[in-house]
Amino acid sequence: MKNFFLSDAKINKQYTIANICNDIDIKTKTRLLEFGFFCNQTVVVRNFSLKKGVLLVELNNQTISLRKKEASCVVVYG
Amino acid sequence: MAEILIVGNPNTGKSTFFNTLTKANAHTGNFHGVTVNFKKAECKVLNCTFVDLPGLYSMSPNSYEEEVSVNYILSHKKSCIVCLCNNQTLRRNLLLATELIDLGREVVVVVNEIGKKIIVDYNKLQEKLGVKVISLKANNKKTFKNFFSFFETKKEEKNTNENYDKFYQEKVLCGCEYYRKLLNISDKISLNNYEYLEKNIKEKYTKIDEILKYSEYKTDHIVGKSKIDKIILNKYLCLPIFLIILFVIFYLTFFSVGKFFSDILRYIIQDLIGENFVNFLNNQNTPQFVVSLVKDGIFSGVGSVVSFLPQVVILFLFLDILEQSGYISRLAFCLDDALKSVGLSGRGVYTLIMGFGCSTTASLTARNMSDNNAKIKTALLSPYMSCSAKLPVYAVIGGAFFFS
Repeated sequence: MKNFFLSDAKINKQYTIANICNDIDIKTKTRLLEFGFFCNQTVVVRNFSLKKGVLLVELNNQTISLRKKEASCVVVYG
Repeated sequence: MAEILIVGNPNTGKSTFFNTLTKANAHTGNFHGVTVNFKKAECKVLNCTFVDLPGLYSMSPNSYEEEVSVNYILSHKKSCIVCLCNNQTLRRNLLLATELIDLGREVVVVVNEIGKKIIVDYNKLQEKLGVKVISLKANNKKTFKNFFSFFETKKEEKNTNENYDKFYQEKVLCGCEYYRKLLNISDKISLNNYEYLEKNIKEKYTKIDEILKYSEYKTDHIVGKSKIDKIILNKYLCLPIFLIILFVIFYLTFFSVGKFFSDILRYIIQDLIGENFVNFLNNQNTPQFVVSLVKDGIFSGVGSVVSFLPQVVILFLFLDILEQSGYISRLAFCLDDALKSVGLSGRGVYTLIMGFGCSTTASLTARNMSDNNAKIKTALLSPYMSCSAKLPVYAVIGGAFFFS
């Protein structure tokens, strides 16, 4: 299965988190980890609006609003 | 008087909880980032002061209002902390609660039950966390019985085992800039910070998952998703819906309901009271300049301004409905792209819409943006929104220049 960024994910399809990029600022990395974006967690994009720069993402049965910048740092497969 | 801090993730109901306790009318809204500075008020039942702090996800601040909260928590070491959690996002909310408990602070976890009932054993949760856990509904004072009885019988100043040195060390190793500046540390960020950060947060979540598993926490529905979101959040329909809502609000405020009450008020002030008073003055042979002052200055001038009051009230009512219903947060989500093209953020829509009510308070809400440039631009733009105070000015100037 191919790896790609969460910002390129299809809507309503379940993915598994591979990792979070390391070459990002520490604040973004901290925020993603605080939201619970760890490896092997399942994630579903509920509302896909890449052009708007914001995604509504379901992680551990909780909805999280992610910016494009943050979603582009999360590598998923599925 | 003892001081109790109310902390928690954004949008868990802290300000609603604060208002119910203190009857202080702190501004609330179904929108992340409504509280941008701390507010204090007394609770007469418990004879103490509650402090409503802006929301934060953890003790690593990521924006201005989160720094306000962290500054306050770290500088008021003797204050008890009420950590407000949302029953639907308990896993994420407990990250902050466990950080404060590990810091050695006196913490009471309050779970705000919003929406659908979630299965959780609060006694087991209390046992595992090691602190008091109370469940209630933040907007219903009848559910505060356990909360009041706990604080009434609570002993003063628990002897806490504070671990500030270990806490600061951990935060610096995680690469948090706020603590590096606080402690005047100038080390460069290295890869070790990322590894340590990930390891640190994973350990915390592993501990939280164990706690929630022991407490039989079960949630199987999606938070914040409703059928109406399919329409409101639709990329083609969101803007037309917004324009229609705005048109309806302005039509009802300025041309229909608002105009009706405004005309009644103007009739009462200028015709009923004003005319009769002027006739009375004329009958008393009052000098003409006094009659003219009263008629054209006081009753016409002040009356014109006061007659805008119904329209202002109706406008604020509609703005409050938009906030409380959660529509503004959905609108921010939809307009993020359009506002980004002019260098603003989706969150700026809240500031710009509130500008129709009051530009001054609207510009204050721009502080919740993390992007500094967008924050300044939005704050500078908000005075250009046609606020309620500007309406009488437009009417007077328009009347002076364009009508005979």
